[in-house]
Amino acid sequence: MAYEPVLTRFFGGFEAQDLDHALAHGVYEGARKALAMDPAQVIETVKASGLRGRGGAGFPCGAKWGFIPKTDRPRYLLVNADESEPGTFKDRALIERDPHTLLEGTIVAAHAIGCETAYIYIRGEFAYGARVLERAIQQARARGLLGEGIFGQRGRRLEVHVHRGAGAYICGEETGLISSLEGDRGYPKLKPPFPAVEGAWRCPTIVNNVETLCNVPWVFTRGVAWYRSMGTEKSPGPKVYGLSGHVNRPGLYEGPLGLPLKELIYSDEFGGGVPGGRALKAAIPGGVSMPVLTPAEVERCRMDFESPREFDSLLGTAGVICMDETVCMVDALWNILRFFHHESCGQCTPCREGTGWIEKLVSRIEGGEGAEGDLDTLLAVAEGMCGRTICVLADAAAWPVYKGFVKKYRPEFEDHVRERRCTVRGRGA
Amino acid sequence: MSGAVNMTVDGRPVQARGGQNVLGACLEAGVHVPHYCYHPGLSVAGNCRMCMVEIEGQRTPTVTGCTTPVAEGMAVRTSTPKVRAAQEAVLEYLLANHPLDCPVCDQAGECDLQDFSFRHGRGQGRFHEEKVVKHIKDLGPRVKFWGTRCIVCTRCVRFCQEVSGTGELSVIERGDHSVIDTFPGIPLDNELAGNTVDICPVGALLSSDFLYRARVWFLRATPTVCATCSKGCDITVETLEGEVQRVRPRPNPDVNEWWMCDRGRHDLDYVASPDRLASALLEGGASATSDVVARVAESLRAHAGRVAVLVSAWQTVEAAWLAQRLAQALGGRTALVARPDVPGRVYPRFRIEDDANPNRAGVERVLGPAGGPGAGAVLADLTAGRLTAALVLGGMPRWEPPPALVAALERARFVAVVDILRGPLVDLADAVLAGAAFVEKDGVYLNSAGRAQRLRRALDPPGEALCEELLLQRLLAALGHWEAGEVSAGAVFGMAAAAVPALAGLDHQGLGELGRLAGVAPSQ
Repeated sequence: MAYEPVLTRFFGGFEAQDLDHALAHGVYEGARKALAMDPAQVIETVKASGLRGRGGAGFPCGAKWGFIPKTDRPRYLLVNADESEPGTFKDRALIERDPHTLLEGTIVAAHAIGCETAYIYIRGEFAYGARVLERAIQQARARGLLGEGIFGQRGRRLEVHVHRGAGAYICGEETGLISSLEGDRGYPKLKPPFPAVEGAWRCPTIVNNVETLCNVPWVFTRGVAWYRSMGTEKSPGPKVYGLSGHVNRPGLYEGPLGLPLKELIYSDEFGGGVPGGRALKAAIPGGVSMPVLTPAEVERCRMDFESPREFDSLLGTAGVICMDETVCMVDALWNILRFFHHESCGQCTPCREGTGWIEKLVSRIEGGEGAEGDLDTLLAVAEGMCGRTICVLADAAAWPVYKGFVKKYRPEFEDHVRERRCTVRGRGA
Repeated sequence: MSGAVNMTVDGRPVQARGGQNVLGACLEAGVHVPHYCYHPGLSVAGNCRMCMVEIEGQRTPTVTGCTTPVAEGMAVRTSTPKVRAAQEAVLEYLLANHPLDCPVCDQAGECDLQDFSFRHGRGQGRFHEEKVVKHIKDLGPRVKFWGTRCIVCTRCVRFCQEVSGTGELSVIERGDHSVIDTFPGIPLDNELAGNTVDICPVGALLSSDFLYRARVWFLRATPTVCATCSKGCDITVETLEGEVQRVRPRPNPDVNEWWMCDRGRHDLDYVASPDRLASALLEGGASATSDVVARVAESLRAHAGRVAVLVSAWQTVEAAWLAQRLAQALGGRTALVARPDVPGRVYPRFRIEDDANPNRAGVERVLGPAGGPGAGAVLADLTAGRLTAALVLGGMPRWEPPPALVAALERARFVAVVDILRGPLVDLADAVLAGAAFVEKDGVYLNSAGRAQRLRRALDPPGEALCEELLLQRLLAALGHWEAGEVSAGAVFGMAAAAVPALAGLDHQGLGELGRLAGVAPSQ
């Protein structure tokens, strides 16, 4: 398969941090083309490309930009670089190895929505990435690509600021991000109003994921037809896949959307299979909030925004986590729930109280102190959290329970309760 | 965003206002929808997730009423199986880490967590894990906090941000460790802080003053009006065993919204003070009220034409009008005496008035221009000996009579004082009648905006003490100027309203719970 990597083309090193290197390889050409177009035309082009947001929800990018109302108020573009979903590490690499393409996509998006100030909200732990971006912004400003009169066009300006987060997963949720950027607690906000209408500082705001914006320039340099030649009808374009856990070659891989998950895990081009010849027991398709897939489901699942739904799961960030036969499903779920318990912002009752409750319950079952009825309680408490909160963190914590692990590996949970011990750990390797 | 919006709630037609949210519309229509974080006086937080309703034809199964705007033709259901399941679930989460210490919690009996659990919750909890224990501490000198009982609805936080604008409170930590706290070195010590206790729907924020003093179901609540400043906040005075236990605001959109200040809340110590007058005094010795009334009437008659009647701005409209009648009967002159201003304060959404008198506007309207705001001329005449006797209707706590007043009265040949507390005036008086504090009487006060509001008697005056309007009726009767027999404050008010143009059209019953604006502007 002659797939030509575009998003990850600089992943071999760090040369593209340098503006000259980036320019020599055509970075900013897409922005030059887009800036010659009318904003409405830019939005139409992105709509035509079918580009869907890469932050996890897969919302059509052009449509989102189109929600910006016509207004004299300032408009803001927020680049969501708060990548913190366990199993996901694509944006970090894009920032560190290809910062200028991110800035290029930012320039195009800002042009489309008529914004003169953009913020890159970067996860606090990405200190290096923040430095890389600061330097890239300085270089771009010095060359007239950012700041006043960008691309030689008088009166057109764009300032890009890097804002470092302070270590909360919830600030990657777009309205939590806005609250945090505004200087408040990173509490997600009530919707409506949606950010496009009333976001940062109550002005129209678009929040785009790093990888989404890194896709944007390609729509303009290579065109809509080229873009749509990859992936599926509903999920077109290239994708950076993360692969971690029990695979021979964990890392980031690029391919078209719609890649068979089996190929991603087993092909020598990608993951190269499970180490030690052990059997795959479970795989999470895209960040730990996405319900886990069984080996049989892995066989059939394709990595686009539609296919995982067939298995009651979602693509999410396409950060795949593989677990081999030595992994205890109760333990794995406990690990995931510890994360959500720790990261719930605490604003809404069901999430604040529910994430801790289900974590403690699963911890108890894993610790051999499960009791009859615990699994039913676990499922009821998890389901009770869903669809009843301001943001979807509660759902993200509950799905792995009632759509994933307990639903698909229930006998293993029952064994734990019945035998009052972990029935997997220590077995095998 | 205004105009009427027609919708139905549980099939019943309800008219809401445009821009209103579904929960507000339901509550105003008298439909009970359980809720914690929503408070009509605060911004919408939407965090408790309790006020779930179902909107017919909407895709989402249930929505929070507080975050859903009303719409024409909307059909709201407040008690479907889905709604009940959501309420049950939220309550179970709320109780998961709650200590269930109702037997030792001050809020028991008026706790929304108790009440809604009873009405909407599961019979049995399923939480068998270790509970999260949060801090229990003083947030400020008068507010105690039980983090264990807190449901993090953030009403208190929003109050301090939006109403007092002082911002002392915040949520710290996150997830199930979220807890209310102050910032280091900045306690919750603003003059509106007591309201955070009132609006806390559970037993998390409690008043240090009321703590463990009484079980709330034993309290007797009387709706009345605060006397601490001229704002006239509507309040509820709660009493037990003859003592005021607690004072809380009553919502009145035209006066105090949902709030009151801590000055008013904590200003009632004097009511039970050992300095209270519990009987009439004659030349310093306790005496029967009837004897003193007779003696005062006799002495004042002897000075007819040279009598000063001083009426404090704490007296009711009724007492002021009777005092005016008395002055007329004796050919005397009236004057208003008042406590000096205490600097008030303007908060973003609450104002404490400078005028530390509850009924200056009412007394002024009754006494008219001659009664004047200044007692200067009357005092000068007393000092100069042109007026030779005085009747002072005091009743002002924490008041130091100005030296000029004391000096003028010292020159008078006969001084009678009606008051509630011992003090310089009582000491110099020839005859003293024991009156009633504002929580001990019925009557009407006019606030600084000219709103007439009813005082209601929450306690009996101590010992032999009597309400001023009764004492004045007896004095008038002794002078042969009162044929009505002893009548109630309401009847006196009726006579006053018929006689004083500024009070025309008002009567006790018509003032209702929230009072009415007196129609005519005060004469200058």
